[in-house]
Amino acid sequence: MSKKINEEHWNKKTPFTVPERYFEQLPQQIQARVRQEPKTYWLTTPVWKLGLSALMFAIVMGVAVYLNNGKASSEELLAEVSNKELIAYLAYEELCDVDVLAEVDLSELSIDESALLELTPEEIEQEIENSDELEFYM
Amino acid sequence: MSDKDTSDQQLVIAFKKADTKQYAYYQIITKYQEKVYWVIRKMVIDHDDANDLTQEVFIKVWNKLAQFRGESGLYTWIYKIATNECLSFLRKKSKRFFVPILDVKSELLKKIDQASHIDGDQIQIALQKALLKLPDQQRLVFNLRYFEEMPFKDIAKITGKSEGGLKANYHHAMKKIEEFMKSY
Repeated sequence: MSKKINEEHWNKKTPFTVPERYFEQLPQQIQARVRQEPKTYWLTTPVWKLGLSALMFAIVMGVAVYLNNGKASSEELLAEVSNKELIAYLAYEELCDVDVLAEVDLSELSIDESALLELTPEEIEQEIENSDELEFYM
Repeated sequence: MSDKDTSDQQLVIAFKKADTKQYAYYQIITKYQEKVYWVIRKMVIDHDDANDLTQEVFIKVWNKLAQFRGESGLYTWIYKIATNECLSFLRKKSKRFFVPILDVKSELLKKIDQASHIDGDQIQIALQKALLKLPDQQRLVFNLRYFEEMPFKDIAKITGKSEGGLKANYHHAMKKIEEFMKSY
């Protein structure tokens, strides 16, 4: 087709159509969607605020990881020390039984404290000699 | 202030009150749904895409109208959301292709030939194909001016461009379309 077509031949119509009753149904469809959609914080909060919150959280987490990095618990640290080194340390420090026992947390031992109050000195002595756990601290 | 502006003002006020919010929203949808739909449809060609985007526009109206301060008219504000939605949609589409512009435009050309809900004479179809040769922003301006017969000052508010720039842009678009249509 080579005929000259200028603006006079155009019209304001477009070739696009819509399904039957489309605009009658559209308002209800939209309102149904609005009722279904939950109003979430991130939809109504400005993007810059969300970004700032995320950045602050990342900074706090980074600092926490940095401070805790490499810090092992005291038990883990102690487990790395050999018995030989422990004995040598104790000998060097000239610690006696009383000093060691003072550091012991009796709750970690399977000793009933209330029962201890009712024991005679001889019975306590016997208990200490028999206790495997207490020997660990000696 | 025109009657339309007063009416839109009343709709916004009614929307901001809890007991009249739903009804005001319904009024806004019925008042602007066709305008919004056709602006979008002319850009994205496909009915299903236009339907999705139209609904997204009105969902945004629901979410944001409470914060609307009335610096522009309601219809300008809604049109702005609509034009941003379809330009954003076309931009996202182009990012999925390795050769962005050509493939998206080819896809839209195919839709004119093959998609459902397309029914027009040869000139109408030729004009739509010619419009696809324009960059999206220029095509949008052309559609608003030629088909919607929107004043340039209103197009300027919607697009954020100057009136002078828009007039020059429209003039160039018209020349390109005329050249294409001559060779049709």
